Amino acid sequence: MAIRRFNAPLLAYVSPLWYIDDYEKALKANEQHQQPRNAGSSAAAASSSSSSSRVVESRKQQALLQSPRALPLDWWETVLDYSRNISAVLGASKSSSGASMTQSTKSTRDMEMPSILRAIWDLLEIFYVDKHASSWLPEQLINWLERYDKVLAILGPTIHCKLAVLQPRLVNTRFPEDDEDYWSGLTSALAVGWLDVVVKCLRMHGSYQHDQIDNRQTENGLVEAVVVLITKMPRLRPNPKLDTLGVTYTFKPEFSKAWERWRNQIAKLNSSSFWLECTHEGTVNGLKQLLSVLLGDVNTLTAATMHWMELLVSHFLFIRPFLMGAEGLLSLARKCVQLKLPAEADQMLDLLLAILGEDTEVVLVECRKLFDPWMLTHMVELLLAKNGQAQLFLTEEREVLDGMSLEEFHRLVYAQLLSSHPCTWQLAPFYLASCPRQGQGLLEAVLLMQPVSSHSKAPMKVLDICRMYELRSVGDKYMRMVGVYHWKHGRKGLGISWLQCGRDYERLSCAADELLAAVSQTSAGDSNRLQELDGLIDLLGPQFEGFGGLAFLHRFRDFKVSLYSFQEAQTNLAGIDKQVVAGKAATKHLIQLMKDGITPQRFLLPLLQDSVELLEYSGEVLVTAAETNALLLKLQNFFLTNKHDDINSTEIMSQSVAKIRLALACNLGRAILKE
Amino acid sequence: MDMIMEASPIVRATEDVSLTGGVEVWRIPLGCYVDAVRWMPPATAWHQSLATALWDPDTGSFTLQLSSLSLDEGPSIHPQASWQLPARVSSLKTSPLSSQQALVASATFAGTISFIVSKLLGPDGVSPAPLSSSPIHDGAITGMDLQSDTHDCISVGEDGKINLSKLAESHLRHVSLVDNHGLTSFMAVHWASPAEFVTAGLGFSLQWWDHRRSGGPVQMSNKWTPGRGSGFIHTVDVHPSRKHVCVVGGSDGTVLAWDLRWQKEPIQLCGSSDLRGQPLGGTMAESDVWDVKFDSFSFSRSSVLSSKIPPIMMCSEDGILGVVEAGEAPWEILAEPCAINTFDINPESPTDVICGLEFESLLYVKRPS
Repeated sequence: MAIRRFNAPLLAYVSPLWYIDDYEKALKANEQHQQPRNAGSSAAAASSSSSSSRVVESRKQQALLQSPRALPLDWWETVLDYSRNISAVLGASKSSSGASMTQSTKSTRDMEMPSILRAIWDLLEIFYVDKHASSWLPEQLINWLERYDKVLAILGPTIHCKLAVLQPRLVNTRFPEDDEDYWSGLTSALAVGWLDVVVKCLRMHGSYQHDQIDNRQTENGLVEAVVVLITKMPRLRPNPKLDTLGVTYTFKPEFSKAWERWRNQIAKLNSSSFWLECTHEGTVNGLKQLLSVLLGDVNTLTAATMHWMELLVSHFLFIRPFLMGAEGLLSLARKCVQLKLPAEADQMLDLLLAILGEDTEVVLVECRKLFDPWMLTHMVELLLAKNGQAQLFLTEEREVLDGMSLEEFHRLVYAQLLSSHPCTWQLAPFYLASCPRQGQGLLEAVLLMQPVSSHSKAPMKVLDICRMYELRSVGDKYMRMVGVYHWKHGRKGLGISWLQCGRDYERLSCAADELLAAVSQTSAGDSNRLQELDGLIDLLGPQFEGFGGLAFLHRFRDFKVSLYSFQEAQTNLAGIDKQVVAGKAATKHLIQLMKDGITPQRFLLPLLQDSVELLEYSGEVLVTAAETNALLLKLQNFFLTNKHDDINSTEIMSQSVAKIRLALACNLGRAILKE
Repeated sequence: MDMIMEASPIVRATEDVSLTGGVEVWRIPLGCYVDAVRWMPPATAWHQSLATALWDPDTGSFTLQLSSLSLDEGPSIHPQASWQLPARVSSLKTSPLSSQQALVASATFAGTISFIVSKLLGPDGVSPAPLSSSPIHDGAITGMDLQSDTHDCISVGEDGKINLSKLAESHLRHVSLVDNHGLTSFMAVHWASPAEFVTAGLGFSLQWWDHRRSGGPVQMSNKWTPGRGSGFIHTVDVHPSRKHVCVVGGSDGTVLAWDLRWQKEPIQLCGSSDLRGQPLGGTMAESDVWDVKFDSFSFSRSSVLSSKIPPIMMCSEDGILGVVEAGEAPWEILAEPCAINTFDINPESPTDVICGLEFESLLYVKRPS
């Protein structure tokens, strides 16, 4: 089974995750549950969210450097930036109003699921991060609902659904005012403050059409009057919104006056005599309904809204327009829930109420039920932005968790998920590195567990992470693994290169020994093979002179090559001069090999045997007296140290030793004579 | 297949306006790992298309995709045709075959090579099946290049083989030029002329070959990197008109240029340490350089001196896309938070660069002309 990709923030929440409150189960479900990949690129999204976290993390470090005890007062602004970045990653929702009639309501689950996440994220931002928002909470909630009403629709019917059904019907109807749904849709939209939608729909009213037989002037006048009143609705909000209707006031007393005036106008219209002249019963009832919404009639509002959040928002708009802060918010919300009890169990109910009441512990528990570790890891930063109590709760070291804090625990779980997929594992180190207790160990394990064979770029990526986090020993270990892998698969040169990078001198010596065996088995005549090995020995490079076998291998190769050219000169009957030059070169290399500590003992005898050819060369004395003495000494030492070893071969050895001795003695004589 | 990938412009604070001034960048999410990306030869002046080698680890599929790049309302990608490949792609090359056809060659980590002859204009109903070789290398092919005139394909691998593949009528023929049985591996290859090519070996070495001559390489660079026994070359490029000038990129942010006519030693253009292992300060990239290419766009702007190495564009594991030139300050075009694994400069309009990012997306970069 292919490893399931972890769809970082875009994980579809239709999975059994909804009901699982245990992390381990959640992880298993994540692995087992094969889900179709979401449109877009989740590794890219995970990467964006991790780079946002990276920014906030580094700023936090900086801030803590400046004042180690506490984060600066304006810290929440940094978190706000972070939160907005993440929110942008979560969905490229075009901030269209939930009731935007032009937008088709494609309700494929894939499209909606990330939005739930985003909806909750944004709500957390309002309550936990944005300090400006806290003095305009009702207004923020109204905006929030406008954006996410369509998301709430998957939990139960909402006004957005209602309007979505109504929309196609309106397009084909000439006189919508005969349709009861038209009016009920308008009442609902007005109750949650989607003024532009209401105005747009009211203008579709049949009385606006010119080619009519009946006289509908009065009726049209009433519709238009309601339209004007809706357009002029005073709103208390921090800044005017360009694309929406209503008149903005930022100063409460001014707003209060305007509100009074506006309400009077509505009351006046409500009691005007024109209603009697209007003949269309549907219009009269419909418009009256709209007016009672504007007048804040509790029963009408309760009937017009469907979700409790909608009811809550309608209360803010029409019953308690002067409310600004959070006071009484929670009790009002509870009241609305009572009135609008969801038919089925609403999974979001507890979470939404907890956020409204800033009850951090419940928020965490509920998020753990509903969302994957991505959410928990990233939302911690939001919860910590200004809430001191949450800080203690999240960063306190817990014995149950092996001394980890909740913050670290969530990061660890998320990092584990990331590291299980080939496209996301590179993101895990960032999260692990910020886990003080267990991150380091896991990070090393994750790096060393990366396959060495899959892709030739992969090892470099592991090493780059080692470089970034200064994990030199892990990098060395990994390079050794790669080196052994290539060596075992017959790619000698690549293996050596990697072992060199990993400074694995022990294995390099073994490799050199193996090569040595190959070189010594190669007969001098097999020049092709020797040339191939040549390249490899070149690769080992002069900087490895210090490492036993390798240095020897280098010189041994040189000796073999020069001995070969000496032999060739002899068989080709080249000029004496050439033979002598080649012979002298071979001797020089031989003497270098005889220096202390270069040639391993077991290669000494074969080398000396090779030397016989040089010693017995009849043309000229190739080995000087001093050099011959050195060789004799070497032979003597060798004989002494090997006296007790290997009794079986003693006879053969003594034969060849005798032969070498003879050759050395003869040469010594010739050399002394010559000198 | 009818999915359209739209790009989103990257809004980023530019700390140094003179560095990144006027460069426009768009990210195009693909939803698959991008192993390689290349520009296709243009069919018309206003038609741009790309060849991308994709890997989907969830389904374990390896796809070669041809798609057109449309630039109205921000760049977006419209897939035109796709083929399944036997393994992940290590190297991808495109070359015009005729005025209506292009050749796309891909080499895989399983040692196979595939050729696709594609029509340049529009989807042509039934896509022709790719011509795939049996594994001609044991293990991964590390480098491959298409000769633009003869359409010969040269490939090198970890197994120490150099193979020459030719596209005959309807099948592939290949000749093994060199085989050292894995003793030394080759890391990259590039054609210099219809008969000559450069290979990069282990330990920062370069070899210059002529496939008409048997035996060893014509020229070797082994001796010019005494201090650097370890480290790898990942990519090599030869200047299109001055074939004696080549450039390599590899470990530790190293970019080396080598002019065969003059130098016993290469010129180091970038890197965290010099050829003898001494640390250098102020380098642009610190980790592996994945791709280098002679940048004809920057070339046309700078003074032309025949003895000077022309400017070179490079991309690296630490997310740098930049231009380096001997004796000039490097131009860092982009610093991405993730690795840029591959890039290609549009041969027709060299202001445009397409990059393949680590996290399943392409990056479309437009430099001010």
